[in-house]
Amino acid sequence: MNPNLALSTRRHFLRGVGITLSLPWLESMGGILHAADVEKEPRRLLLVCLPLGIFRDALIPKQTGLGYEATEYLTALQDFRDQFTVISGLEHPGVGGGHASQPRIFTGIPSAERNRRSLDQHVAAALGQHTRFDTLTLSAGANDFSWTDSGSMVPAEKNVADAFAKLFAEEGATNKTKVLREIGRGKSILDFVLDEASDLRPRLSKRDQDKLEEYFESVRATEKRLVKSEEWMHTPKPQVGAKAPAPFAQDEIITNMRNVCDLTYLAFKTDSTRVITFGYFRQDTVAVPGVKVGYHNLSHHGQDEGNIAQLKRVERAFFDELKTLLTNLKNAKEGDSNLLARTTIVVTSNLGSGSSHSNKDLPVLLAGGRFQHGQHLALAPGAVPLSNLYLSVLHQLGMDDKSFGASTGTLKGLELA
Amino acid sequence: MPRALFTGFVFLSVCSALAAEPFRAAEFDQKVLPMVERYCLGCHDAATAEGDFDLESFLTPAAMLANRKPWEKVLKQLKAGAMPPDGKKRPAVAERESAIAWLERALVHVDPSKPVPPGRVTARRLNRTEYNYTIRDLFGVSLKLADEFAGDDVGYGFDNIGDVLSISPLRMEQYLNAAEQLTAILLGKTDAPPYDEFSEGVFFQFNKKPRNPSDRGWEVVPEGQLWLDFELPVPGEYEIKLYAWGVEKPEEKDRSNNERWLEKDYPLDPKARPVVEATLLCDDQLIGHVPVQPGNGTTASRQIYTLRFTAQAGVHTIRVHHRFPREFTAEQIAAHLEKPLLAPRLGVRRVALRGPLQFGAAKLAPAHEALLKTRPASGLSESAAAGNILRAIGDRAFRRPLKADELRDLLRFVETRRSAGDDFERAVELAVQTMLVSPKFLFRLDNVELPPGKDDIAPLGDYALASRLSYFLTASMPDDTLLDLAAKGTLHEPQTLAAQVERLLADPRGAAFTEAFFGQWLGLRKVPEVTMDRGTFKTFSTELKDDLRRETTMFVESIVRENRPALELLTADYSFLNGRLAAFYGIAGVDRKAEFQRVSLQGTPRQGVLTHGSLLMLTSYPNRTSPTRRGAWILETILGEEPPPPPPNVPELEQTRAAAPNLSLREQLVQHRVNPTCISCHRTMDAIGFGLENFDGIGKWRDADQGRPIDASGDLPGGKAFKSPQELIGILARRDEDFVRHLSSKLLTFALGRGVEYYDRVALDEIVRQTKPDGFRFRDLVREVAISRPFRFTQTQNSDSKP
Repeated sequence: MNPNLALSTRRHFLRGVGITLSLPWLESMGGILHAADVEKEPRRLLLVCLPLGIFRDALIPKQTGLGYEATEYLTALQDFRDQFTVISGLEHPGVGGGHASQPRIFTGIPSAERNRRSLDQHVAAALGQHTRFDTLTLSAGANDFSWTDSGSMVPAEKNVADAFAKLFAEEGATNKTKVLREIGRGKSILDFVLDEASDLRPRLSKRDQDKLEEYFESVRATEKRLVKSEEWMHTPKPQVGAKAPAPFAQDEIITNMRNVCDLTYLAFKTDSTRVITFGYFRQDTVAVPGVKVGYHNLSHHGQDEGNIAQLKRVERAFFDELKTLLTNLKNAKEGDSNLLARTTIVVTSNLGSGSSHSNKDLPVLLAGGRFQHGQHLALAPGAVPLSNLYLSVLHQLGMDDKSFGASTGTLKGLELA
Repeated sequence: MPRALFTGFVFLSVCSALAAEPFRAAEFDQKVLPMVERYCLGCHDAATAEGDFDLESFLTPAAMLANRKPWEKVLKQLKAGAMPPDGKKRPAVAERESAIAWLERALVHVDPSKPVPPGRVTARRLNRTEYNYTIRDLFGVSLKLADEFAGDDVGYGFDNIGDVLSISPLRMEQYLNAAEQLTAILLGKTDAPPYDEFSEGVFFQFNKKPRNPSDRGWEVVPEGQLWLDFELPVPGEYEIKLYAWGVEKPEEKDRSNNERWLEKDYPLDPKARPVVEATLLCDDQLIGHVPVQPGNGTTASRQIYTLRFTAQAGVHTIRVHHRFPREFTAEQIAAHLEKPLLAPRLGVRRVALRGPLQFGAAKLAPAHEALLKTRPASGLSESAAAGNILRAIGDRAFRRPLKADELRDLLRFVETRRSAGDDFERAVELAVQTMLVSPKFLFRLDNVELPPGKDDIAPLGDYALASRLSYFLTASMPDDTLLDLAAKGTLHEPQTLAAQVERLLADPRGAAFTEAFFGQWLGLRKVPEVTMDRGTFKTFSTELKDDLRRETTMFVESIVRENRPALELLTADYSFLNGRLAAFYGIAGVDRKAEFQRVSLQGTPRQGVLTHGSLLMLTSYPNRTSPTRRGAWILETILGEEPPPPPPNVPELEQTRAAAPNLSLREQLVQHRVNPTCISCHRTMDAIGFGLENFDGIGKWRDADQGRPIDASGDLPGGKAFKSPQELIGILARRDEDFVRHLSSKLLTFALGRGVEYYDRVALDEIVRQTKPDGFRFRDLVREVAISRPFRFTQTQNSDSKP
C-alpha cells in the first residue's frame, strides 16, 4: 500500500464542483408546479436552527394576530415587521429525546424511524438544477440538519473561508483538468454500460425489459448530472467584490454567524445556489460581551435571572445578525423585486424549551417569500405538525408535494400574499 | 351472532382438500353466476366498475381460469363477509357458501392435460444484504457498502422479490460510488487506511471483574482478560494501539467513579520501569506482549503501545490479557496470586485499530489478488494481463464465465482509457467499475438466452440455478463448488441439488438464510424497532428486547441446524434462555448470570414461538396487548389467511375505551365491533388473539389484568374452541398439514423471489407429500423446495403473460 498515492475519487471531485451525494435533481418527488415561473422568478430557501432553543418570553409575543406587542428579539427585527410571521405551538409528532431531536428538525421523521430526506435536500432536488450548487450546507457551529433520502447526513462546510473559495475562487487550471478528466471517466463508464445493456435488451423478455428500463433511465439520469457538472466547469465562477473571511477564534460565535450570513447573501445574490441550511450553536464559552457562562449551560438557565440575562445576550446577537441579513437581502434588487421577497427563511429550534429539553411547542420565525406576513400565528400546542409549515413552504416554492414529513396538510392560518 | 359470521375464515387446507375433488366448470352457471349477477354486478359491471373493479368481463369459467386474480379477490371478500357492503342486499348464507366452495376448487384448478407451468421470475436486483455478501465473497472483504443505499422494496413479505425491487437514479449514483470506493480500497489507493476505529476499554467484555471502573478505563487484575469484536474490512496488516497504564501497588478497595476525574495528570517518566505487561491477541493468534509503565487513567491517553498484525477481513476478537512482568519469578507470581487484588494491575483505557497499512502476507481472494498483482511483464502483454484480471473478476461477478464478446468489449474499453491517458492500473480499475455497475452484476438475469423449450418451458441453466440456490441459502453469489458443478452441468440433478442444500445450510454463510427468512416471515427483523411504554411495563428494557430476539433467533437456528420437525416451531417444549430471560419467564433452575442455553419448558405454560416474548411484544401496542393484532398475526403468519385491510373511518379502540372505561379489554373489543362490516374479520382475529391474553404486552405471564382475571378462551374459524394458550396451540398443531403447506409456500416465495401462483399448488402438494413420512423436518422442506419444479424450471421468454 502506498499511503502517498492520494485517492482522487470522482466522488471527491464531484463534491468539489457542488454535486453532493445527496440527490439527483431528476428525482424530484413532487415535481415542479410551474417550472417556467420558477425559472423567471427564482425562489430560494434558507433554513436556520438554534439547537439550544430560543428563550421563549423574548421571542413569542403574548398577543396573537396582527396587533401583537413586539418582544425583545422581535424589536430587533422591527423594520421588517410586515415581512415575517412568528408561529408558536408547532411540533414534530413522535420526535423526542431532547438534543437527540436535532437531526430531525428539518425532516419531521419520528424518532423511532430511520431519518430521511430533509426539507432543504428535498427542495434542492427541484431547485438545484438551475444553479452550480444544488444546495449549500453551512455551519454557524452546528452541522447535522441536512439528510439524504437514505438517511445519511450531508456534511456541512464548517470552514467559512473554504465555503467562500468553493463558491467564488476559480479552480486552478491543473485541478480543473483533473476534475474534467474524472468526469470524463465517469461518463465513459456509463456509456459502456449503456452500450452493453442495449446489447442485452433484445435478449430479454418483456417483463425483464421493463425492469431493466428503470436501470437505463437511472444510468441516463446520472450521466446528465455528470454533464451538468462538466458544463459548470466551463462556466466561470461569479466575481464578487468581497474578500474571503479572515480566520477567527472558535468562541467568536457572532463573527461566525456574520460570516455565514454574508456568505448566504453572496450565494443567493450570485445565484450560486438557492437552498442553504445552517445552525447557530456553540457548546462552550462564547465571545459575547457580558457573557461569562458557556452557551449550552446558559440554555439550561433554570429560571435564574442572571443566566437568562446572559442567554438573551447570546440569542439577541443572533437576531441582530439576522437583521443584517434581512437588510442585505431586501436591498438586493432582482428584476422588479428583491431577494428577500424571493427567499423563504425559516428560523426554528428543535427544543421548545432549552432549559427542560422539551421538544414540544417549537418556536418558529418565518420570513421573506410570498406569504401574508405580520402576525403572530399561535396554534394550540400539540395540535399541528411543524411539517405542515414545511408543506406550505414547498407549495410557495412552486412544488406540488402532497405531504412532507409528518404533515397532515398545509398550515392553516398562513396565507400566500 | 348469526352462524355466517363464524365461518368468516376457511382454512387453506380446506381448499386444498377440496381441490382434489373434480372441478366441474359447468357448475359455474348455477353456483356462481346467479349470485354474482344479483349481488355484485350492480356496482362491478364493466360500465360502473366501482372501485376500479370490473367483474363483468370475466363471467365465464374459461375467462376465470385465464384471469384468476379478480376472482381471488371475490373469494377473499366473500369469505371475509365484507362484500356486498353494509346496506346492500346480501346473498343468503347457503348461496354464499356454495359459491365459496366452488370458487375455492376452481381457482386452484390446474389443467391436467398440460404440463404444470413452472412460473417465471422477473430479473432480480440484488438487495442490500445480497450486494454486501456478494462483494464479500467476490473480493474477500467485509465492507457493507450497501448499508449506505436506500432501503429495499418489499413484496409478499420479503425483500428479494424481482417484480418490486426497483432502481432509481440515486441508487445508480450510489452503485457508482460504491464501485469506486471498492476498487480504491482493493488497490490500496485510499487517502487514509479504510479502517480506523477504537473502542474505550470499558466497552470490552471480561472474565474477571475489572477494578476501579470509570469512563477513563478499567484495571485488569491477574489472570484477567478483556475482549471485544472488531470487524476488519479488508485483509492485510493492521496497527493496534493499546492505551494502557500500570498500577504497581493497587489499593484493594475500589475508588468511586468520580474520583478518577479528580485524578492528577503528571509527567510520565519515559525511563520508568514497566510494572505489568499486556498480551494482545487477535482471535487466538498472538499479536505480541507489551511492557506497560506506571500511570493512571489520565496519563494513559499518552501511554500508547503499538503493535502490528495481519488478519483476514471479517469479525475478529481482539483480546487483552494481564501478564506479570517477564522478570518476575514463579515464586513472585505465586505470591501475587495469593492476594490478586494487591498484585500489579493492567489499566486499559482504549484499544485502537487502523489499517490495512499494507496487504503484506494476508491471503487475498483470487479476484482481489488478480486486480492487485497482475501487471504486464515480459511474456505477458498488456492486453493479456488485463484479460487475466477481467476474467478473474468477471467469471465470478457475473456468476458465470465471461463470454468472449464481453471480454473483447471490456478490453476495448481498457484500450480507450489507455489512449485517453490513463495508466494500465487506472484503465483496468475503470473496467472493473463498469462490471460492478453492469446489469449483469446488479441483476440476476435467469432467463437470458434460454433455449426455447417445449410448451414454452425450459430447465433453468445450471449457472442460473447455482445463483438461485446460493442466493436462496446464503444471500450471496455461488461459491467455487457451485460454479464447478454448474460448469460440469450436473447441478440440476436432484440428488446433487439436495447435497448442496445440506452443504450450504451447514456452511457459516447459511446463517444468512435463517436471518433473512425467519427475520421476515416471523417479523423478527422488526423486533429491534419495537418500543414499549416503560411506565406500563416496568421490566422492559433494550436488553430485554435483545435477549428476547436472541431467544427466537437461536430457537429457529436450532430448528434448521438439527433438522427438527417444522411443527416444533409451534410446539417445542424447549427454548434458548439466559439467566435474565429465565427469571423474566419465571423458569427456575437457570443461574441468573448464565449465558444462553437450551432450557426445557416442560411444566411451564410456554411452548413454541407463539409464546416467545419477542413475537408477543411485536404484536402488542406500546401500553397493552392487542388480541386483534395477535390474532391477525396468527392468521397471516401461521395459517396464511390474510385478513382484508380494515375499512376506512373506523373509530379507534381508545374512543370506545373513553366511552366505557370500566370494561375489560375483552368487553371493550366486543363493544368496538359494532359495525357489521368489521365484525366478520374482527371477531375471528380477536377470538384467536384472546388465547394469548395470559401473556402481557412484553410476554410476561399474568393471571389477571388490572385486577380482572384473564379469560383466555376463544375459538378458531371452523368452531374449534379453546380455553388456554396451550389448547390454542394444540388446535393449531393438529392442523399440521395446513401449517406446513403455508410454511412451504413462504419458503417457495423466498426461494424464487416471486409470489406463489395457483399452479404452484402442485409443487406445494409434492413438498408436503415428500416430507410427511419423516414428520415434515425443516431442512427436508428446504431441500424439496430446491428440487421443486418451479425452482428448477422456468417459462421461456416468449410466454410472459401469466398462464
